[in-house]
Amino acid sequence: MKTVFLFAFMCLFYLGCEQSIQEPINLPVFVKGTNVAQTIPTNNTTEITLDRADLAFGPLYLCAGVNAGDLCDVARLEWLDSVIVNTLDSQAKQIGDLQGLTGLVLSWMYDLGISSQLTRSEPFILAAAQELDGHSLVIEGRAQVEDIQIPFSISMSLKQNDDTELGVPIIRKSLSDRFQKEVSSNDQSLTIQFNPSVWVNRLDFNKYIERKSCFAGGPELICNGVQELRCADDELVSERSCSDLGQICIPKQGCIEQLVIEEGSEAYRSIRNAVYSGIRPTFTWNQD
Amino acid sequence: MSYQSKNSMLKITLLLTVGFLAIACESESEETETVGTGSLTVLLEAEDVIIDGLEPGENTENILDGWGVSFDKYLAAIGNIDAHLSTDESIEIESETNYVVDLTQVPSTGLELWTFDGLQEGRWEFNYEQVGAGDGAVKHETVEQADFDEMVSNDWTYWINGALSKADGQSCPPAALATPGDQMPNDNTSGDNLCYDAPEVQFAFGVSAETRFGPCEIDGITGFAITEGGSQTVAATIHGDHPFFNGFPEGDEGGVKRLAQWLADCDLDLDGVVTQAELEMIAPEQLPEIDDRYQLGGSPITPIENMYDYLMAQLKTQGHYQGEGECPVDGVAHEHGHGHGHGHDDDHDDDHDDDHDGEDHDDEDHDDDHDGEDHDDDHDHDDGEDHDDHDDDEDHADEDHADEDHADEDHADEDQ
Repeated sequence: MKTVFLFAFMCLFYLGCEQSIQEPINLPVFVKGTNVAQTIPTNNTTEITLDRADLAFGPLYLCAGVNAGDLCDVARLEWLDSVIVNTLDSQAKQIGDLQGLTGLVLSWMYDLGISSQLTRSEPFILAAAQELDGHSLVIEGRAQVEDIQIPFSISMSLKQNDDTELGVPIIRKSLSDRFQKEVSSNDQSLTIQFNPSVWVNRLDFNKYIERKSCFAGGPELICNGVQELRCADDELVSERSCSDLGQICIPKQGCIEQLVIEEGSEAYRSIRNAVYSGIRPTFTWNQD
Repeated sequence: MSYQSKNSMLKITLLLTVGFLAIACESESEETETVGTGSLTVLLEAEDVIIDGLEPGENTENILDGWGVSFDKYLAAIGNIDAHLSTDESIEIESETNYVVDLTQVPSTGLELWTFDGLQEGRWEFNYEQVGAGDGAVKHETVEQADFDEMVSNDWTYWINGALSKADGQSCPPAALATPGDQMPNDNTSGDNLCYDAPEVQFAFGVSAETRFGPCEIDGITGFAITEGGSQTVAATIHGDHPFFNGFPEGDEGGVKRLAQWLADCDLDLDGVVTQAELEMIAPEQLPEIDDRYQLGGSPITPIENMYDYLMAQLKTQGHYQGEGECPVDGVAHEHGHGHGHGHDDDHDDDHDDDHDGEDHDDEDHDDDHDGEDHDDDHDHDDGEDHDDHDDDEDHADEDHADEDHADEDHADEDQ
């Protein structure tokens, strides 16, 4: 009788207060990239082919509130590790488990392998970013501008700094990102998919192509397509074909193997802004 | 113990259990006893920088890159006050009147725009919205008729006119877009962009930035308290300096830096006025000023394609509570499919126009949401929050609400 009563009591208690019960949960989290098109069109005349797009991802936090960031003091679910995501590979890979409690999540936020802390002046460079030589994102590819192909690479460290919000993950769900989920013990997984084409589809390589001859008052080094010209004012001193060397001619640099997109350039800002405030990765629950 | 004794004991225990559950789950029970009521007044406050402008300098509230900022007009469409009892969302109040107000004219004590009577005592959650002026907003007397008509016809949330000033100021528009005419550059550059002397740069733009704010809190305490017979006053505070923020802080603004050079650099034709059209032409990456000092990762709208998007995103974060209190920004913009009427006959239903399943949001979704506005015809709250259905039959705290809101309008007029 006591057992029956105890059972009835427990049932009654459970039913009466069902909404208040949260259960601990370990939810597998997967990441994957996207099989991007062979050539990615841009909003200008450049076409881009990506050969490498490695992203250091993590930690990841899912929050109960509509807004992440400072207003998410305690995450409902979190994955505190980091991993390199080959964002050109559409095969999902489990990277670990989100740990926390069941219940409603309305926002997310994550870092890209570099995590700033209020208690430290320098951010932590997590394992994934360390593998990328301290960077959050490494991209290599080729840009086709008219008849010239420019091999390029870019490495960027995306993190909070003294001018921004230390202690807050750098990428947070925007209000136009749709995200709402009542996480329950029935849920099997969360899959996050990145598409690197949206990071590069505003790159404009036209400004790396120069078609000039020597001119009065001009620089000593000039590119004329793939020809590197050495000038003395308007007189040509020497000339060589970069393409014969398997190279390209970049203004102010001459013949080089590969264009390294430098921090502070417009191309750098374009990719950085796209990662920060461009189209976001997709979050899919219980994907087969 | 006899069977009868055992049985009695069980009955007592059962009664105690039910009683315990009633207490434990009190929040879900119906309130049946008579409770006291009080009243609420809602003020509209303008952050002092809207009235006084921003000074250049090194202090936290200053513009760090040497520009001073002043505002001639700072029109905003505000309303949809929405509060409900914290313990029972069905007990709620809603305002019926939205206003277009020139925030530069708001007194430092605030503008009393909405009053409500008959609120049940207890703690209430507080929400409000920046709205589109075209959704039936009423002109406040601080606003000129022509300006109001412009706001309404464009369904703007903000119309801001002002000026940047700096003795040695310069404008460095993106070279690929600049049309300087016969103006000569000075010797400076910003990245590859030539710079031109510009000691004063005016700005004038209207922006749709419909946004729902709430539930609001101050010092960690949500909403407001109503006591029996008491009169409570709260303030919806609109900040004015977010367009100059170097990011999108959610919470404390203490770490924010204020910079204005980016706006000066948007004067493409160097005529001394930055317009909406110019902002729309400039991608953020074309401005070297938008460098690592800026953290765009928390933008309320994505993607940010141009500087008008950026401005809109910043304006969607300006709603605060009781001065510096925080209101989570949900980015909602719901279509008032009822023409120019407001109030309880609005059909606030739960038909979210998106299926908020927490799953895929593809590129098309983003495109749809690009302006942060979901206009649909069902007065849907696209905010990711659950809004209980409520209709005229619901337990509104104030059944004479409509009449009161008419009184509110008088009230507002009195206040001016």
